Amino acid sequence: MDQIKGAAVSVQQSVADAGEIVLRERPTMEHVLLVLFLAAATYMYLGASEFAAAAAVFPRVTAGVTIVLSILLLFRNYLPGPIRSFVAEPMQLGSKEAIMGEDEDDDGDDEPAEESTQQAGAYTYDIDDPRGPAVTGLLCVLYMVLTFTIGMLYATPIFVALYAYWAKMEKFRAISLTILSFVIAYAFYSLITSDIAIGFYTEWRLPVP
Amino acid sequence: MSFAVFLGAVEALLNPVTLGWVFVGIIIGIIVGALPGLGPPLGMAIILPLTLPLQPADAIILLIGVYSGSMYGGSIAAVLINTPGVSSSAATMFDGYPMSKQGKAAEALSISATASAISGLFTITALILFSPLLITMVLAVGTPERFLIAVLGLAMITVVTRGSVAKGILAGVTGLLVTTVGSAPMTLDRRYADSLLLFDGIDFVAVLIGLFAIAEMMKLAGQEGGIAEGDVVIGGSVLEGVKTTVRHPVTIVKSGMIGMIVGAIPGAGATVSNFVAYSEAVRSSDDPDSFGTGNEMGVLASEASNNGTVAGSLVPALSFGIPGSSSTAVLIGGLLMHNLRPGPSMFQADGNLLLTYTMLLALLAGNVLILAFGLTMVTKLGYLTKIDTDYIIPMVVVLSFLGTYALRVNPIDIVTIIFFGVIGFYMVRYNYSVIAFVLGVVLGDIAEDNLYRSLQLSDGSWMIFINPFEYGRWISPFIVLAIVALLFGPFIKRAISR
Repeated sequence: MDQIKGAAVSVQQSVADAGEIVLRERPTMEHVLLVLFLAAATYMYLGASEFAAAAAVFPRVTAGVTIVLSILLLFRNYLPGPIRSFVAEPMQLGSKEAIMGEDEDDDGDDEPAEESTQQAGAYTYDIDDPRGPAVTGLLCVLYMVLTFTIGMLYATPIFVALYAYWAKMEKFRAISLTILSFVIAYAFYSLITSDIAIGFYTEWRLPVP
Repeated sequence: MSFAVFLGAVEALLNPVTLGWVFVGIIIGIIVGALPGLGPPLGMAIILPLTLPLQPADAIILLIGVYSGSMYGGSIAAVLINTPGVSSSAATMFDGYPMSKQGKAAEALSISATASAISGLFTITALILFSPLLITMVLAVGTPERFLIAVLGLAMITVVTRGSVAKGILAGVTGLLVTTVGSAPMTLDRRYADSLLLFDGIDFVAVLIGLFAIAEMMKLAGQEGGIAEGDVVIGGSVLEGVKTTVRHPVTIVKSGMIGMIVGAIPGAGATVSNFVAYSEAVRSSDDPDSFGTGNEMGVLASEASNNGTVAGSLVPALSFGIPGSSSTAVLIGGLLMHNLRPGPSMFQADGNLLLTYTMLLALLAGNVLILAFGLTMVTKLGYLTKIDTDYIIPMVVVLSFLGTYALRVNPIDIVTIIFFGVIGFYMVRYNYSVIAFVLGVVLGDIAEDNLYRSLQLSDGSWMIFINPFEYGRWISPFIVLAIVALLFGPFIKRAISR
C-alpha cells in the first residue's frame, strides 16, 4: 500500500514539475479546470462544422471565445504587460475598496472588517478541512452509482448513513436522519415518480425523447 | 388596459391558495436564510423541481417568497452568531452582533424585520407605480438590441463580480456554450447529442442545482463553525426595535432605493447593496464612530437595502431575462421551466402581465408576512442557528438528487449535478464568476434566439449591431460602445495614466 502511495506521489510530483516548466507556475486545479474548458470548447468548435450554417453560428462563436480565453489564462505568464493585466488582474466596479472607501479601516473593529472583505466579494472562502469537500464529492459519486444500479429510493438512505458515519454523528441522530431521508425518498416515489425505485438491475431503460 | 390587468392580479392574489404559497415561500425563505451556509439561490434551486406540479403563477410566487423571506432570514444568524446566513446580511453583523452581545438581540431582530418589510413595501410599490414606464421601454426594444443587452448583462457581471475580467467572460461564455447541447432553439438541429440521453440538451435546472447546492455543500463540508455554541439568549425589547425603525423613515427609504438601484445592476445584487447602504449610513451619521459597536442604524440600513434589492433585481430579470443576482437567475430558471419567457410578453396585457402584477403584489403581501413573522417569532428564532451543518449537508444533497431526477427521469441529470457541482466548487475557489456562468446558462437560448433573428433581418451581416445608417437601429451602436467601455475602459484608463 505504501509503495503504491509512494509511486502515486512520485508521478504527481513529475507531472507538477513538468507543468511548472510549461506554465511558469505550479499547476493547480485551476489549470485542470482551464484544460477542461479548452478541451470541451475545441471539441464543440470542431463539431459545429457538422451542423447547418444557422445552427452552427452560436456554438462556433461561444466555443471560439472560450478557446481563446482558456489559452490566454493558461499561458498568462508568457503575456506582455497590458494583455496580462486584462487576463490576470482583478478589475471590478463594485470592489469593496470602491464601495467602502477607507472607512472600513477606521472603524476600530478589525475582525468584522476582515470578514467584510471576504463577504463583499462573496465568492471567496477558506477550507478548514480539505477532506470535507473530497469525501462529500466521493459520496455523491457513490450515490450516483447506487442510483444507477439499485435505484434512488434505496440509494438515498445508504448515502445518508455513510455520510453520518463519516461525520461521526451520534448513533440515534444518524439513524433518525437515515430514516428521515428514506421517508423523503418514499414521498417522492409515491407522490411524484415511481421511477426513482428503478436502477440498472431493476428494468431501467433509456428515456424516450 | 393595464389597470384592468392590475385589478385582475389583485383578485388572483386574494385567492387563498395563492396567498398560501406566499406564506409557505416566506417561511421556507426565512429558514433557509437563517441557516448558515445556505442562502436564497440554494433554497430556490432545491425548491425549483418541486414546483413542477404547481400552476405557473403559484410556482413563481413560491420561489419569489423564498427569495424575499431569505433576505430577512439572513439577518438572524448575522445578529445571533456573527455569521451571515446569506452574504447579503454581511454588513448586518457589524452592529447586529454587538447589539446581541449587549442583550439587545430582540431589538436588532425586530429592527431587521421592520426595516426589511417597510423597505420591501416601499420599493415594490415604486416598481408597480413605474411599471407603465418600464413596459413602454421594454416594448420599444427590438431583437438586435435584446441580444446586445444580453451581452451587456454578461459584461456587467464580469466587471462587477470578483476576479479578472477575462475569467468573468470565460465563465459567462462557457455557460452559453453549455446551452448549445441538444436542439437548436430556432432550427431544431440536433447538436452534440450523440447519446439519446442528451437529446433534450443539458437541463439548466440540473446545472443550477449542481452549482448552487452540490458545490455549496462541498464547500460547507470543508468549513468549521457557523453554528451557535451553547444557548442563544434573545434579550431586549421587540417594541423598542419597531419604534427605532419607524423613527428613521429617511434612512429606510434611502437604503431601500440604494438596494433597488444596485439590485438592478446585473451581478451586483444584495451582497454589494448592503455594504453601499451601510457605508452611506456611516457617512451621513452624526456619530460615525459608534458604527461597529452596536448602532441600530447599521442594522436598519443594511436590512432595508437587501430587501430593496429584490424589487430592483426583478427589473432586468423580467424585462430582458438578465438576472441581477444568483437568486433571480434561479427565478428566471423557474419562469423558463414553466414556459414563461422573460421579455416583452411579461409586460403585454394579452401576454403575462397578469402574472407579473400578481408576482409583485405577492411580494407586497410577503413583506407584511415578514413583519408579522419576524415580530411574533423573534424569541424562537435562535433554534435555527443551532442546527449543525452535518445534518444539513446530506439532506440538501438528497433533495437535490431527488428533485433533479424527478423532473425528467433522465440519468444524465444526475451526472450533470455532480459534474457542475465539482466545476462550481473549483470555479468559486479560483475566482471564476459562478453568477456569470449561471447567467450564460440561463441566457443561452434567449441570446441565440435573438442573434438568429437579428442575423435573419440583416441577411447574415453582423453590421446590424454597429451600423445604424444601413439598418436604422440607433440604440445598438450605443450598447456596443457600452460593452466595450465596460470591458476595456478600466485597462485603457490605466494604460493612459501610466
